[in-house]
Amino acid sequence: MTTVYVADTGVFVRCGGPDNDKFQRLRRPVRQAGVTLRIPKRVYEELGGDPATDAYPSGTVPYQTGSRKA
Amino acid sequence: MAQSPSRSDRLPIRELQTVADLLETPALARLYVYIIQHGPVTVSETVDELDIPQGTAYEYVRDLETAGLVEKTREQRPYGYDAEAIALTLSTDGETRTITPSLIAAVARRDEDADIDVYIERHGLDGLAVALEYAREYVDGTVNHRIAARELDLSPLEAEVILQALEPVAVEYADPTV
Repeated sequence: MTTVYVADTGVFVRCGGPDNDKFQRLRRPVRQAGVTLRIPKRVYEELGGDPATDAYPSGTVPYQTGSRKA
Repeated sequence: MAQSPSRSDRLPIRELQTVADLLETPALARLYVYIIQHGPVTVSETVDELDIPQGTAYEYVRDLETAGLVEKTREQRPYGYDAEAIALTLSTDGETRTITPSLIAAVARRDEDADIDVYIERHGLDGLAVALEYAREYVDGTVNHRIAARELDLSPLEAEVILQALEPVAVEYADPTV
């Protein structure tokens, strides 16, 4: 059996980028467990799909930096 | 024939003016929310807690008291103040909106939470009031950011940002009547 860890948009909005404490608190256990988070295409598109959200501090998630195509 | 004065001490129009000030002045909103949550309190306690200049705090409390939104709980100095939870319902053609302590609490966070500030700039206080209703359902788990986005005509990302920003208010004021 394979377990897949899927992350929704809210996880990235909540955690922000690498400078954010919440990001570090997520990354540590994920790394320790040796797993990767799968991001559905829909979530990927949501994270970068609205330039208008650039005005919000939490609306600019550096999602491209930490993700790659499966 | 002259009407006898109302027995109530409430002054609805004066109260409306002060509620308008609450919605426009985050520091005043923070003071009011603090008194609701922690009252009875003295003005100097609010000055210590909220980082509002002393003169301003006394002026704000006096305005709130005149409007009937806070009242003295003791008549000797230092005066203690407690707040009354407002529920001011406004009706215009086809739209009804109730201004509640939770909406004031959301406005009060505007200075410290730029996500709320940007949302108000983009969607106004009416937009914020509606988003707060969705934030309650988001906290309950009955709505996610995609449903909110569709119904509020926002992008899913913007919906997620404002729902998370309003989450602390929705948790604190779980009862929709406040």
